[in-house]
Amino acid sequence: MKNKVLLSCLLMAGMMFTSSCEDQLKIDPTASLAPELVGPSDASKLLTGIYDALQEGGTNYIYLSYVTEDLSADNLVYRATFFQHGEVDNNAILTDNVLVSRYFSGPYVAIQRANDLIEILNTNASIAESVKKPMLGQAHFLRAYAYYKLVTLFGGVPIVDNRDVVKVKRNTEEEVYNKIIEDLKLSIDNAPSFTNNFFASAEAAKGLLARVYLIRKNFPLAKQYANEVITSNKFTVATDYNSIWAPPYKSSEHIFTLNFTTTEGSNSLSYFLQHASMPGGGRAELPVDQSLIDAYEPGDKRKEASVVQVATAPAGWYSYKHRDPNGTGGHPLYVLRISEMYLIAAEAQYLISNSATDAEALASINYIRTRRGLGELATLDLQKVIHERRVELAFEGTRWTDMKRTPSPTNPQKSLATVFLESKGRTANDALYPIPQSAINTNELLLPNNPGYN
Amino acid sequence: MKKALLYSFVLMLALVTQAWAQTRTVTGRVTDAQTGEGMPGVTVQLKGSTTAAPTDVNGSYSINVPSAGGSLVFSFIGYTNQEVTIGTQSTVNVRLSTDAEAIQEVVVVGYGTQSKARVTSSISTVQAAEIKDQPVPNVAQALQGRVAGVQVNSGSGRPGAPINIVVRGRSSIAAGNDPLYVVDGVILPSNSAATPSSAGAGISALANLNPEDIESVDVLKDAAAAAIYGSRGSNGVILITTKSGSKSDKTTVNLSAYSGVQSLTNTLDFINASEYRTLYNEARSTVGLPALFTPEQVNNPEANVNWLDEIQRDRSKVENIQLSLTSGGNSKTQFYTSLNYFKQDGALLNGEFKRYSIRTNVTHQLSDVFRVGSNLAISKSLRDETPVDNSIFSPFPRALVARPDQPIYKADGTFAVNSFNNPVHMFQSLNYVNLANIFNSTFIEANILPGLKFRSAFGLDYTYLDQRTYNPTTSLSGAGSNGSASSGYVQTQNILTTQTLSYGKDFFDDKLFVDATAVYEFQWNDRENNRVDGTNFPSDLTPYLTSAASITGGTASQTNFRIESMLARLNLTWEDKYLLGASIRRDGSSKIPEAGRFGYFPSLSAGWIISEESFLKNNEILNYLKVRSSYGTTGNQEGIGNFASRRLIGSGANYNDSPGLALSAIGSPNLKWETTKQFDVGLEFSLFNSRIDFSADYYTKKTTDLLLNRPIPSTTGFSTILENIGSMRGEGFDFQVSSKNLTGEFKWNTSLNVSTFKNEVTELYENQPINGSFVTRTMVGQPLGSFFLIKSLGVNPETGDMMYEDLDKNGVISDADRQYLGSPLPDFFGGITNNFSYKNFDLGVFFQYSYGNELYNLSAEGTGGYASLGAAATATAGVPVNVAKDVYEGRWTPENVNAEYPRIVGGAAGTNNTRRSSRYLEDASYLRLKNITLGYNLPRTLTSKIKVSNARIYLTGQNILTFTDYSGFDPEVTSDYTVGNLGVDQGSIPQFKTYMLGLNLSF
Repeated sequence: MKNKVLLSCLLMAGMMFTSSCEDQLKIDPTASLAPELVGPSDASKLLTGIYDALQEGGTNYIYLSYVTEDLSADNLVYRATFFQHGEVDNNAILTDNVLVSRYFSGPYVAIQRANDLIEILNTNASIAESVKKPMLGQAHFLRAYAYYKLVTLFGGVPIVDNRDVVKVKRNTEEEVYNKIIEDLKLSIDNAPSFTNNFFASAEAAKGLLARVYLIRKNFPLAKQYANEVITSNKFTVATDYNSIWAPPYKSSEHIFTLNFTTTEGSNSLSYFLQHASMPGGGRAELPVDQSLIDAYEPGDKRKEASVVQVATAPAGWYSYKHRDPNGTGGHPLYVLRISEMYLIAAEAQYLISNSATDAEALASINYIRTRRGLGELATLDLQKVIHERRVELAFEGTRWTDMKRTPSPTNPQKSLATVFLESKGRTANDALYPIPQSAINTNELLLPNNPGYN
Repeated sequence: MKKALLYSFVLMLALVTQAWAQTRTVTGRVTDAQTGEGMPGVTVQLKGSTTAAPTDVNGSYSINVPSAGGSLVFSFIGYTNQEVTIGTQSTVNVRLSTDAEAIQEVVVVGYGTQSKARVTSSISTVQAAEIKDQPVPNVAQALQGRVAGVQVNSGSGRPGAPINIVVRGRSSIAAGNDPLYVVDGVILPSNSAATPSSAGAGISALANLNPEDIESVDVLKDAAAAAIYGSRGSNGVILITTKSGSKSDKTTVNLSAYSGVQSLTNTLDFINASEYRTLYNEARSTVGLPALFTPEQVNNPEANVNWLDEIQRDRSKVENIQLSLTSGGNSKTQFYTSLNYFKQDGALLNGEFKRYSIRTNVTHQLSDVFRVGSNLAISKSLRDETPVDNSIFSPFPRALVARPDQPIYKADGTFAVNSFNNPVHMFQSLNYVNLANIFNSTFIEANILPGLKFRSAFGLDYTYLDQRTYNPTTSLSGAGSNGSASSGYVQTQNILTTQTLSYGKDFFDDKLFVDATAVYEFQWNDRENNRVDGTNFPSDLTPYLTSAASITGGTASQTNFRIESMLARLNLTWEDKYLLGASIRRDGSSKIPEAGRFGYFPSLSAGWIISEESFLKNNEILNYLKVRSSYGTTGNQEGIGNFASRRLIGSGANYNDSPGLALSAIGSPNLKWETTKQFDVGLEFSLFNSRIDFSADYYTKKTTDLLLNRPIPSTTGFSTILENIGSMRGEGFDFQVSSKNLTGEFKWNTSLNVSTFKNEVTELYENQPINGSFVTRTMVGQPLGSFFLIKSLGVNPETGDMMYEDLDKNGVISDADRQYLGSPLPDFFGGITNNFSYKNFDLGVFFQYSYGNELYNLSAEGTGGYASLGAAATATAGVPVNVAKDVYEGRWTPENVNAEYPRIVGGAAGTNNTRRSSRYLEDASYLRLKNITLGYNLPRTLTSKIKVSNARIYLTGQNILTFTDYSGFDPEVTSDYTVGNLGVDQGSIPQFKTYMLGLNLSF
């Protein structure tokens, strides 16, 4: 009897284990969500994810891309460690440069995260307009900025709308700029107006659009959008230039910065740029080009806020704009400032009127100069605006594009960049970065590469 | 143990002389071959008669036999009968052994056991007796050189370090090559050794298993054996069976202990401070710099430190003590219980491994239908490790290059600065890794009908691994942050339930034997990680995180997987001659996308015992001959992350301290396991009354659907996707021979195994090669992880500089000149054991070898390597590293133009001379005296006085001699086991040379 009871218990237990365990194979992770579990209510988290992509998410060293224009141009030089920086500084980039490869792949992380969110927002009727619009506005701005980073370094790049694992061929430079303009206009229509420089706003979209129109030589619209930002009265040009770069990085100059909190602490740009003796320390890898030091006019308050001379080895001038006095890795990346809007307005107006004494243009540029401890200009020319941009926006990632789009005063057939390149024994082809070999390896449709890299 | 019985059996036969023709009395004693104790109740019968006598309580007997001829048969339940020809002997002592004799051995197969003769697959068994004298914490180490087809690598001499076992060669690139471990039927998880912090170089969870508790280790090598483990069988299966109680009435108490001293197997001489300063001056002069040291400073340096000596621990020890109780009471209940303490010092300062373990294995016959049993083991291992290991920035490799002319301490007693990190200073950092384990395997078994059995088993393997690091405020790593610490744990819970229905019955007058098994199994695996980091400590006396002023980071996460399996196996035997086996397993894994979640892994095998045929039966020379063959499919899924196949939106995409989400995995909807199809053909035979046993196997295998991260267009926002792409094949031979060379009073047995394997990659994604981290490349047409290097052509006698082969003839030596120059895989490897015994003495000599494997000496290369001639001096700065003395003395000088090593030179020439090339690729073939043991069994006359039934003392030497041309420290080490880095010596700590004294007592 005992045996029979036990036996039946045993068989029952066995059957219990055996039956329908198959459902138990359906388990979900706890640090991620299945896409179908992410709904409209999670849209704001996905928006945060786009900021994260531009800031650090998914691409190591992406913060270095925020000064690569200065390194390609004449603002920074290469000293040590990453030889890939040396290639950029020498304008002799090889297609296997792993940093440039990150500068190419990094923005696509942001673009695709933006694509994901925009699709959710546009296909879910259940989301209230009041909730949808601010997010859509920010997503379009961030996507535009990612394409902006690509097109300025690489020229025409693929425009992608979704995550299908397919090979996409390159669009033309014009098509990419048109995509950027389209996104920025959608952003202006939807984004909230400015409240916090750590987040995208309609004003940030207008500011970037002004810069893009300037590059595209649409001067009336460049001026129009620059002026719209200025007249929004959300921003003021700082009287103390030094304060713009100091914690908590909330100067009224900033239209948009990508913030890094000390919790994240993953921005080491300061560490690359600064000398060990400077507050927060540093590795002195990318010192300042002497020509930039020479470019500061006497009395320019921007000089001491922007660069520091160090006598101990490795001696030289070092950038002081990317400050991290406590060495926490928590300092922002600069994207747009109000001062640039004045300079865009000045440049655009000058190029519209083509008058050296254009009062409106002079007023705009002198508005900045007088706040930087300098005297007013009586006459204007394009090189003076570009010079002003150089000292005002040094290490803010605009210099190489400025040089590429501006004719040389000595040889107007060529750009400043071309003349600069030829003086170093390079060619105009080196103005663009190569499409990285790693990207070509997975997508041969990216060929031909930019001229000179094939 | 089983062999021991055979030996004694043979001994008996050898003692046969001639027969007497009258009735007389023969006396003797029957002992247990395993324990050496007397066996009461054994039936001693004169063959062919009704004359019989039982043994008494001491195992002694007395029986009347004819004065001439006749033989005695000794029988006891659970033991193999033994027949002894009496001859002229008046005393016949016999040792009986459980389930003995080679061809009647039982081997553990997955989900059951099988008679060895009836096995149609390739399985190797190692018995406890073969490995018991090795002073190692991990059973895996003890397997080295013991089993044909099984290659064992000790990554380093660090106690408790991970041990790499490869069964029949590697068959995966990225999905892991570790075999599946099954202890007492419980499939162990492979993820229980994960550490919360990246500090340290990993641990082995298997080191928690006390080797002295192990009864046998069975290695399932071919597909027919391993297919029963389906999707996890591709890398072979290692079945570990722990000891159980015996049915003898008497409870045995065993006490065993050993203690030994250990030192590094090998050390190298380095140049002293004066020589170093000469080198430094010379390096500078070659780049046009003035000498840095005056002749006076060269001859009388302020310090002369031998760093390698300074970081080694004095009187490094190993000790082990084990107390075990085996069984007793009655035939209903058997138990085995043990307490064990093992401690091994590291070779270097700080290092230590300790293990405490308790085990109780009980089985109880509930009724004639039911049997229950439970194996419970609780263990804790404690490790004191260095925070950094197995990289060239660890203390050991740093000690090889640190400047000998810089002191250890400053005058004030604080650590002095060394240009290459003060290696002694590096030991200030603390890293404790402890692993607690609870293991249980419980079953209830019912004999439902004759031959039909149902068994329900529950298995638990729970590990709790905690790790604490602390870099003191004065340490190299902690000074900048005023002390830094981390504290965390990983807990892994692995639960397995197994329902087995088995049927074994003879049909047609015992001509047909049917053995059928059906199993349902489910596995739950859950893991949790947790870690907190902090900096800024008030004092080094308060090293726990509660004292940290800044908590700098924290993480906690959880992950899991589930596997559901069903399997069936059928073995048919006809007249013990013709054997047929078939099995199939169906696995469903939560790791695999739902669409293809279930996979089937079949196998088929057959054997023919030719010696059972009439034409061979009772052949005096060839007493056993079997051929067998198998073919089957196994899988590998270890390399698949728990949720790697899923398209997922991940957390952590944060901005401005707000939580964010973003697509974190693009998903691989078609992901499945790697599949290996293996064909095996084997031959086994025994000669001269089993004095020579031989087995040979040839196998080929083909792995398809290799898991690889395929690069995808980065415009997707991702760079790779995990897919089943690629294939490879492998083949090899396993040979195992054992022979009883002398069988008289002086006994000599030899066993030898030789294994070969080679493999070749046959397909990769678009056939693009995959580079390892340093010097290897995996490419179609080449073996896995082959060395791909610039070829060195030696030192130019005219210039003293290295010459390299300019493969592309472009006048520049560059990466484009790399070529395939060898493989870390040996041509063949194995072990040779010789056991001698004479009266109470026994001697075991075990050599282990590997031939044709190459090792890249990474820690020797470059301007920072110890065999580079310290060429780091450049035009502006640069401090040369210290170098090995034979490199210094063998360098090129105008007087020594036919030199092995280049001249001392800085700058570009120095960099060129020390570049990564085949200059540092070496033949690491070796023959190692792995173990030599001299034992002495105290005579019974002595032991009986102190109520001890058996006493043995022994002296053992481990890793005593090594014959190799490898110029590094230890040809056996490799810094990690990944396909890309196998065979790269990044300055691993060499293994121990150990001398120890041991004692075994049974009461």
